[in-house]
Amino acid sequence: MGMKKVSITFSFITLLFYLTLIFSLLSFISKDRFFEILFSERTLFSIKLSMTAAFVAVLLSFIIALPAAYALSRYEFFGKNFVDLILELPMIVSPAALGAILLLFFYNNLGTWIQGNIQQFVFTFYGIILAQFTTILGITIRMIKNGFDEIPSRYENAARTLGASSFQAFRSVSLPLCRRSILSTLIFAWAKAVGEFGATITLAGTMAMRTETLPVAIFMRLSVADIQGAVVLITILLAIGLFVLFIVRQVIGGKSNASN
Amino acid sequence: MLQINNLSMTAGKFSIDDINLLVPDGCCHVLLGGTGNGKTLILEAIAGLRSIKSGEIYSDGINIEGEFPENRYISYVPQDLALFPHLNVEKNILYPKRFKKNHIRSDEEIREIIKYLQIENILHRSIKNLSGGEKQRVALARAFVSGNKVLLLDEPFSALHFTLKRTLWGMLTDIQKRFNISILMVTHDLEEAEFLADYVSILYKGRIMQSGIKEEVFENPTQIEVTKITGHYNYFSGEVIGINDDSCIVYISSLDSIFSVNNIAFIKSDKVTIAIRTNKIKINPLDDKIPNTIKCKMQNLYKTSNYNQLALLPDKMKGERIDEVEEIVVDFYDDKNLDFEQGQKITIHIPINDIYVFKNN
Amino acid sequence: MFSSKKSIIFKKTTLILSILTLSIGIALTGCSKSTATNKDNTTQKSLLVYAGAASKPPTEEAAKAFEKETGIRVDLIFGGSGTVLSQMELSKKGDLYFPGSSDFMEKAIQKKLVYPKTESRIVYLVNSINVQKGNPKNIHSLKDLTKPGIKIAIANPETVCVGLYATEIIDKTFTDQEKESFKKNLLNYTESCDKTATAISLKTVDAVIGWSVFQDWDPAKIENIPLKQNEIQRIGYIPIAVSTFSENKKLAQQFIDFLNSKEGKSIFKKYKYFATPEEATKYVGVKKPVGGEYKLNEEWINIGK
Repeated sequence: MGMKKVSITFSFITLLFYLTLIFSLLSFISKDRFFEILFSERTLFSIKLSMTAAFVAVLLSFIIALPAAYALSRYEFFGKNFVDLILELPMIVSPAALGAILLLFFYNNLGTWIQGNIQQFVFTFYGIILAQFTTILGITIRMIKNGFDEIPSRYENAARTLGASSFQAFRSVSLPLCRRSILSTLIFAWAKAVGEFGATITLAGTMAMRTETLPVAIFMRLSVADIQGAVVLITILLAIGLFVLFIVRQVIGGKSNASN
Repeated sequence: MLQINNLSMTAGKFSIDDINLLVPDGCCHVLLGGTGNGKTLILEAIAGLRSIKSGEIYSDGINIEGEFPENRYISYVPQDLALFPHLNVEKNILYPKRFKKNHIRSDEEIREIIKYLQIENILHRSIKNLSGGEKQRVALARAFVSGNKVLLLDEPFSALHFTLKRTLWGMLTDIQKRFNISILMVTHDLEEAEFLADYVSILYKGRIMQSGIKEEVFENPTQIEVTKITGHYNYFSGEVIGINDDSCIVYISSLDSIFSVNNIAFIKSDKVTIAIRTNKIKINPLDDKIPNTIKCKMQNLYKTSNYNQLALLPDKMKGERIDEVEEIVVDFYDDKNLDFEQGQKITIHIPINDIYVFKNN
Repeated sequence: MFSSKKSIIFKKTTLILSILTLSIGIALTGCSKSTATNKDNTTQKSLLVYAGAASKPPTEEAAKAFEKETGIRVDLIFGGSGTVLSQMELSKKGDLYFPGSSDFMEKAIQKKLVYPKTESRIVYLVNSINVQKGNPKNIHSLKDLTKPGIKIAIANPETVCVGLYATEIIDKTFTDQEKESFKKNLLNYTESCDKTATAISLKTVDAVIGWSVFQDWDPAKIENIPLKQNEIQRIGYIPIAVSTFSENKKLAQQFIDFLNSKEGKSIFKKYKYFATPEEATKYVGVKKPVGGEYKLNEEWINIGK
C-alpha cells in the first residue's frame, strides 16, 4: 500500500470512529421523546441561548484578538513573550478550573466592585458570555496570529509605499489575505464556545430559561439520570453544530474559489 | 530630485556607513554591487520601511527622514515585487488610486502606462497566473500609477530572460522620460547598469566606493574594488621603481617586465596593483618593441557570438599572480575571423591609458 | 422516523460500522485490556460503590475503616448523584449506590437498579439558611430574603434534593407577594449540593437555603441562620442500597451494616451529620416527616423567563 491508501484509510477510520459514536447515541432515542424535547419552549430557549451567547463571545474575542494578534505577529515589544505565553492559559487549566478562577475573581474587591457598579456576571447571561469569552480568547488570538504570520510584511510595505497608511495597508492587504484563516478561526472559536460547559456552569449556574445552555442542559439531564433526555439534547447540539459548520464552510469555500 | 546625505544604519551585524547619493530629476542612478553589500537595506531606508542611525533624505528639497512611508511619495518595487495576490492585475495597478492624497495619474495617463507596458490583455488575470515578465510589468505599472516622482527599484529584472530584460529596459526608459521620473535602482547586472544608468555608484561592504556619471565611473575606476564590479580585468602586483613627469615605471615581478603607467600619485617603492581591462588589450601589435608589451603563448580560445576570449600564458611567467591565475585573459571582437593554434606565439600590447594602478593597502 | 425497510438497512449499517470501529478499538487496546482482566482476577474481594460527591470526606473515611476491619477493598466512584447513577446504569457494574439525597434513591428504585429492601438511611439532614460568616447583610429570618438587593441562590430543584426542599419551604411559607420578591432576588440555580455551599464561601451570593451541615463544611466562611420550626417542612436523609448489578450482595450488605454500626455512625457524626432521626428532630424542635416526596412546582422551572 502506498502512502495515499494508508493515509486515506486513516482518515476514514476517523470518520468511522465518530460515526460509530453518533450511531450508538441514536439507539437510545425514542421518536416521541425526541420531538417533545426538541420543540419544548425550554429546549428552544437553550438553543437560542447557546447560539447567541457563543456569537457574542466570538464577536467580543474577535474585536480584541484581531489587533492583539496583529501586534504579536508584526511588532517586537516589551512583554511580548509573556502575552504570548498567557494565551495558552485557558487550554492548560480545565474548563471547570477556569470557571472557578472567574468565580474567585468576582470574590475579590475589584470583582465585587465590578459586579456592584458595572454588571452582575455571576449567575447571569453575561456570565455565560464571559465564561465562553475567557475560554476562546487565547486560542482565537493564537490562531489569528498564525494567520498573520503566514502573510509576509512585504505586502504591507508595498502598500505603504503606494500611499496606504498603516491602518489602510492592514485593511486592504493583510486582512483580506488572512480572511480565510480568520474565518476558520472564528468558526472554530464559535464551535468551542457553543460546546463550552465547565466554565459556563460554574460561573453562570443552571437555571432553566435563564442560563441553561445546551451543554448545561445535557449535564443536568445526566445528573438526574435521564439518559434518554440527555441523548436527545446531545443529538440536537451535534446536529445544530455540524449543520452550522457545514453551511459556513460551504459559504466560505464557494466565495474563496470565486475570488481565486 | 532625490538626495541622500551621510546615511548610516545597521541591520544585525551588517552596517551601512555614510552613504551619499544624488538622483537628479528624470535621471536614473544605478547602485551597483554584488549581493550582500546592503543595496536592499539602503532602498528600504529611503522608502521608510527601515529606521536609520543617522543621515538625511531629501525629496524635492524636503527632508523626509522620519516620515511614514506613505508620506514620502516614493514608490518602491522590491525584488519579489510584492504584488497583492488577492487582487487581479487591474486592481493591483489601480491600488494607489484608493488613497486620495496621492498625486494620482489621470485615467488618460493610466491608459498610457498600461499601453507602454503592454498589459492591456492581462488586466483581468489573477496575479498567480502571470509569467515573470508580466509580473514585472504589472509591478512597474502599479508604481507609476501612484504618481510618485521617485521610483526605487531592487534588482527588478534579475530573474528574467536576457532578451526580455532588454525589452523591459526600453519600456522603463520610455516611461521614465515621459513622466520625468527619478529612478534609484540597485542591481548587480553590469549590462543593465550600462543600459539604464545616467549615474552610477559602486557599493562595496556597506560603503560607496565611487559615485558619478556612468562613463566616468566605468572609464576611471578610482579603487580596485570598483574594477571588480565594473568590468573584467587582469590583475598584477608590482612595485614603483621610477617616477617621470607624467608617468611612472612599475616592475611586475610575476611577468619580470616593466610597465609604464599614467598615474603619478605614487612615490618610489610603493607596492601597487595593476588592473588591465580584458577588452583593452591589443593582440599582435605591428611593433612589438614598444613599451608595455608581453610575449605569450596561446593557451585556449573561447568563442561566443559577441566576443572571443583568449587565455594566454606569458613566456616569462614566474610565481603566481595575485588572483592566483596564471593566464592573461584577452577579450576581443573578432571581425577578421582570426585563428589561433594552441602554443602559438602571441604578443600583446596594453596602451598606457588603459592601465589602472592602485596603491596596495 | 424511518420506514421499516430503511430502518433495517440503517441498523445494518450501524452494526457494520460499530463492529468495524469496535474491532479497531480492540486491536488498538487489546494488550492493555488483557492485563487489566488479569489484575481483576488476582485481587481478592472488593466492593464498587457509586457515591454522591457531597458526602465525599466521611464516605472515604468510612471505606478505609471498613477495609481495615474486614480486609475488603472498597472502590469509590464519586460524582453527582444522578451522574454516578447513569454511570452505574450504563456500565452495568457496581455493588452499592450511595447518593447524596433520598430522591435519587427513588429514581434508582424505579429504574430497578437497586434492591429496595436493602435501602438503609445512613444520615439525616436539616434545612437552614446559610449566609456569609459574620452575616454582613443582616439576614435573620426567611422573610429577610425578600428584602430588595439580597442576592440568593438555591440548588437546582429539578436535579438537586436540597433545591427541591428549598422550593417547598418557599411555596409553603411565603405569600404570593413575598414569593415574587424572593424570586427577584434569586439569581440562579447551582448545579449541586456542594456548589450551593461554595456560592456562600466565594461570596457569590448573600444567602442560600441549604443544609445546616454546610456551616461545618466551611466554618470559616459559612454561618447558619436557622429556620423556624414551622418553616422546615421535612427532614432529609442520605440512603444507601445494594445495586442489582452486584455479584456479591452479601459483601455489599456487610458494608451497609458497617455504616449503620456505632463505628460507622461516629464517622458521619464527626462531620456533623445527624446520625439518627431523633437527633435531627431534636435540632428542629418538633417532629417533621423524614423524606417523602414533594412535586416541584412548575413555576420554579419557568422562573428564568
